[in-house]
Amino acid sequence: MRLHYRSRSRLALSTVISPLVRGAIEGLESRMLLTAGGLDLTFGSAGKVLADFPGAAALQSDGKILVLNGTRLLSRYTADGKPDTSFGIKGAMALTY
Amino acid sequence: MRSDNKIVIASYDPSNSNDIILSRYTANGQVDNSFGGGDGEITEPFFGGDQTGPKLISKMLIRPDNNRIYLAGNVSPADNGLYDWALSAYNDTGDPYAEFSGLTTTHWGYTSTLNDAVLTRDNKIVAVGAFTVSDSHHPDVQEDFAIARYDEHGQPDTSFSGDGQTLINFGVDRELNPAPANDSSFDVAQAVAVDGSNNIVIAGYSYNPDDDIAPYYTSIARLKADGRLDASFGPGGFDGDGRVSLLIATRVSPPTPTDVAILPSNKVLLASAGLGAAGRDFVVTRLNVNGSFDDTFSDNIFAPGAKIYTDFGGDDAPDTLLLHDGKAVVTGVSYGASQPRLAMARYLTGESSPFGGTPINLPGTLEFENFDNGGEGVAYHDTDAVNQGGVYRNTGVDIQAIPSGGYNLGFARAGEWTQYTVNVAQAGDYDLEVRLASLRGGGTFRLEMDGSLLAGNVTVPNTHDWSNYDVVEMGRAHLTAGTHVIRLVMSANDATGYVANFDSLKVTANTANTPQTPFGGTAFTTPGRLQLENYDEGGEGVAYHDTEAANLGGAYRNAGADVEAIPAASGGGNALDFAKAGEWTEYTFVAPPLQGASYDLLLHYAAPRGGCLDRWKSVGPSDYAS
Repeated sequence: MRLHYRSRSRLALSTVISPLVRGAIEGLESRMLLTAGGLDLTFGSAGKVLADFPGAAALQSDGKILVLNGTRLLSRYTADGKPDTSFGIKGAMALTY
Repeated sequence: MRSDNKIVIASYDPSNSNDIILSRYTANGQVDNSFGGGDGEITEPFFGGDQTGPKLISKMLIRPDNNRIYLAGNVSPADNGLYDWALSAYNDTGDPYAEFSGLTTTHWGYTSTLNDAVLTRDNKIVAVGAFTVSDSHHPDVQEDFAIARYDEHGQPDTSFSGDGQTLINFGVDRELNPAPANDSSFDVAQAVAVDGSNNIVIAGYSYNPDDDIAPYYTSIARLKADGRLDASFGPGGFDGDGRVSLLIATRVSPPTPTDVAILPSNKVLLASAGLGAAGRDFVVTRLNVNGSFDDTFSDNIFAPGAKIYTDFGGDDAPDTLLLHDGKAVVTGVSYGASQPRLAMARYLTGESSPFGGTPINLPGTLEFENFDNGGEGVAYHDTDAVNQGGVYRNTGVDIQAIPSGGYNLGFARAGEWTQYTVNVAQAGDYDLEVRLASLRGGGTFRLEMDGSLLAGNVTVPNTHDWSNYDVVEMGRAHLTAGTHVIRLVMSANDATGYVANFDSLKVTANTANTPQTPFGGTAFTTPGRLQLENYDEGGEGVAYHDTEAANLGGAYRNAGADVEAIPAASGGGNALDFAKAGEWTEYTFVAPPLQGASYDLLLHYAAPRGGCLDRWKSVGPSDYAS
């Protein structure tokens, strides 16, 4: 009698818990994917850039970052936040009118 | 920035306050000699050449398809410190845009500020800011979010809120005091973005001067394309009616957020300044599609949260939030001991973005090699990190050249997937076909859209060669208009250990005629009363035409025509509502029994702005004769 009860109980447990466990694992997996939100450490220095000449920023289609300081100094950074040395002098140029 | 990467800069003319100098540079910063008659610049009046008061530009927009330049900002016509909104427009040559009639102004009332503007997907202009209802000498002083939409010619867009403009009030202190006695908050819209469905997301702050502890709240509203608050934004929140107030950063001045962007999933990303260990930090916050905090936006799975703080070592304030390649670049200023410095950080959004920058337009052909940017686990999953085909793109996805031209996804194994951000032009039924090749056949794959099964699983036929392509019909699917994510998923390998070589997905509008039948199966019998909500079955373009795919009234029928329940106090029943120019509904009826007799047509309708509320009216001078 007890054995029968125990085996039934185990059967019930396995059917109830198994989807829960599976759900928890799936939840953990999706959480890990979604958590691909965060500081992108491949950008600049460990995710950040600190440089001279702040200003209004815009992106070019390849991800390069343009920053306009006032109306006269334009600097460009690569998509990864490094000064774009192919732009002006070491990545910055004075605009001429 | 223009879509061709040329740089356009607007600056005030130091010698004439009525004029603006537009200058253009090549993508690499050289003076663009093809602009302004050879010297790369042009001087033109802005915001009305005869304005006497100050003129302030808040935002420049450039239309991606024709490079038309819009300036949005403020003017003070009486030079008395009270401001109206102003718009000017210029052709890509820099000449004033003739269709724009020189200047558009919006006079909200006492005074207003325009803080941001954006172009919608259908090339309208949405401007946001604040309208001060009265000045500080009055007891009921209040500021509201002010939003206006203009057509491409600068005229108020009457399909937005009836007159092209609307106000949103948030009320004070909603989190600490859900039922404030005084509903006069200072609500200032600071940034605007448009999502994939042309919904408008406006972010700003609310200020309660009576709250000493936390006077500033972040306030966000989402509007449907017709200007109504989107009730699916903020359910369970303080209003549940399209408005959300959040505590992101307190005691921060100037108030934040400063910018907002919409991710492909329609989640909301905000850039704010918040108090950290040493002065302010960048705070990037992700909200779910319904406006609640997205607690999966975190560097650390053991410390979930919706906000990420970034400290640059000074007093750091973000300014701009820009999306690229599934990442968010935030730029701003760090105030330290020395000069203000440029501060930039990049964040992973966890979402892919379209390859080439714009979604793949459907109906049309989706080339499988043009999967989204965003990397492994976000835009695709591949068994290994190497492009085994070695061509076209430098990712883990395996791309091969097709001998007859183009590229295919090769070495496709069960469990791998690639995803594609698409834009469906119009809701409807579409036929799906996949072009593929397989040496043996027998593998299976499926298509998903927005996380749900779209088509499949389908068994790959044997085409007898990895380069011998054939078309597999995937069946018919109903697609709703707007931005979606399609995912190609490998389900099972065949005997060779691969699924197939995949070339493209062709999506075509279903051309088979949908039968038009009377609602309920029985044609309406005349004479009698026809309930307008009982339009025929048959769907969009057959039985009706509606501007949006959704039933905006949400009542009675699950189709695109908008049906709203009439309140019991007004007699009950249902009515067609949100009716716009160009929309129509059709009804199958049995001709009246008396041939040649005349009948009157009477319409029962309600229209508050038409001066007629809930009444019968004869429609048209000529009676209907059978």
